[in-house]
Order: sequence, then C-alpha cells, then structure tokens
Amino acid sequence: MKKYDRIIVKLFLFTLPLAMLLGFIITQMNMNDFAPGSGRDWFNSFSGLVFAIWMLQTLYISARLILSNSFRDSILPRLAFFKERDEREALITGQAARHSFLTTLALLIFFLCLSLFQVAVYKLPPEQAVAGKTGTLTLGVNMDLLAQGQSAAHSSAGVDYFRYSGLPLSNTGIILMLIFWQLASYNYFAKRLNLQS
Amino acid sequence: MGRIPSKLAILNRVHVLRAEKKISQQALADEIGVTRATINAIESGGYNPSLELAFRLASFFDTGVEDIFQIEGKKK
Repeated sequence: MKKYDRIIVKLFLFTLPLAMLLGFIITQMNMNDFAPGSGRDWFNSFSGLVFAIWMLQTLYISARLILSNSFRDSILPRLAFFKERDEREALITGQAARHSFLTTLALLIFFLCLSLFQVAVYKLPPEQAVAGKTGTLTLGVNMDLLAQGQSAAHSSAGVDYFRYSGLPLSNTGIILMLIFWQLASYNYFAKRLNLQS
Repeated sequence: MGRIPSKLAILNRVHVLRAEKKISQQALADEIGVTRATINAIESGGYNPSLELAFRLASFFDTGVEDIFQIEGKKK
C-alpha cells in the first residue's frame, strides 16, 4: 500500500467515530432549539466540514478498492477475516471462497426472480366483470433495467387481495444484505472446512 | 499394471517421527513454517500436504518423502 493511501485509510478510521458521533448528535438534537450565536453555527459548519471530508475519503477509498490490486489485497482480506498463514489455510480460503461465490450467485438468481415477477390477486368491480367473474389473477414480468417499472397488475376500482411487484427492499438494503451474506457465508464455510481437516 | 484409483488414501508417520524427535506440534510447525493446526491436520490425516511441504518435512526429519508418506495397503 502506498504511503498516501495508508494516511487516507488511517484518517478515515480515526474520523469515523467522530463522524458517527456528530451524526448521532444531529439526529438526536434539534439544532433549531439552540439560539443563534450559542455555538450552533460553529457546530453546523464544523460537522458539515467533517462530513464532507469523511464522504470524500469514503469515495476515494471505495474507488481505490476497485482500481488497485495491492490496495484491495491489503484491506479487504482483513475485513473478511481471511487467514492465509500457510498452504492449508490458503486452500481452505479458496474452497470457502468458491462455496461463498456459488451461494451468492444462487442468492442473486433468486433475487432476480423475485424482482422480475409480479403477481396480483384482486376483485374487479361488478361492471368490469369478465364472463360474470370478478376474481382476477394477474401475472407479469418486470424487465426494466434502468427505471422503476410500473406494476403490471392493477385493479383500478376493485379490491386487492394480494399484490407483489418486486423486492420490497431498497437498493441500499439489498447491497448491505449481499455484503453481509458474502462475509457470513465465507466465514461459515471456512470454519466448517477448517474443522473437517 | 493395475489401474490407479482416483482417490488415494495416504498415510503418514509424522506423528511417530515427531515423537521420536521429542518435539511438540508447535515446534515442528515453527521449524517448517506452517501453523500448528496444519501439523495437527496432517497427523490426523485430514490434510495431505503439498509436495513442497512434504519435502520440507522430509528434510526436517532427515529422511525421504516415501518414509513419511505411504499409500494405504501398498508396502514399500
């Protein structure tokens, strides 16, 4: 790791508790309760500066993690609790990574299915009845890659019984879940393989 | 010549040789540059070392690789 990168990472780690503390204070306290001139403006400026620095550092570090092999190899194995002190541990790391990759791929395929399919069960108003039947089951596929797709199933003035149109998680929620899944599955398989040998 | 099975059961005498030398797993691990868990895994048969590590073990015990590792059921 380059000296400059090392400084940035240390600065990031040391400013992280401060940024979290400031974030906690701002969310818990209503800053408008404090009179102007009581240090409120100074606090706002200071916390804004800390957040700006912290955000820049975060962007820089995450970009470096993608672009630099050496930077990635020196940071991420520690975060993922890799143990490669000898050939057996390196072998276990490889096997656990393989298992983790495949389970993550399976999970992604499952999520893709969940995000593609749309299902709605609803009752139409009597005037829209088809062949005298008002109960309706609508199936759809949402293939929109860029924008949030419109629900294929809609009941207009009818009564909804069940409606499913894609994953209920936000983008951040899905990404966080996948990160935790990768870490957890890797460590689970590594531990299991370690016990087997 | 008989067909060689795809999976060979390999036995080793690391435990015996280590006992003869009266050294601990940790001491052996330190000498050949691996972790104690790896020595334990080799001795229990849970892990077959690489050729390089096998030669390092042989070198440490001052013997041949075939004196440490043998295929089950095959006499030397």
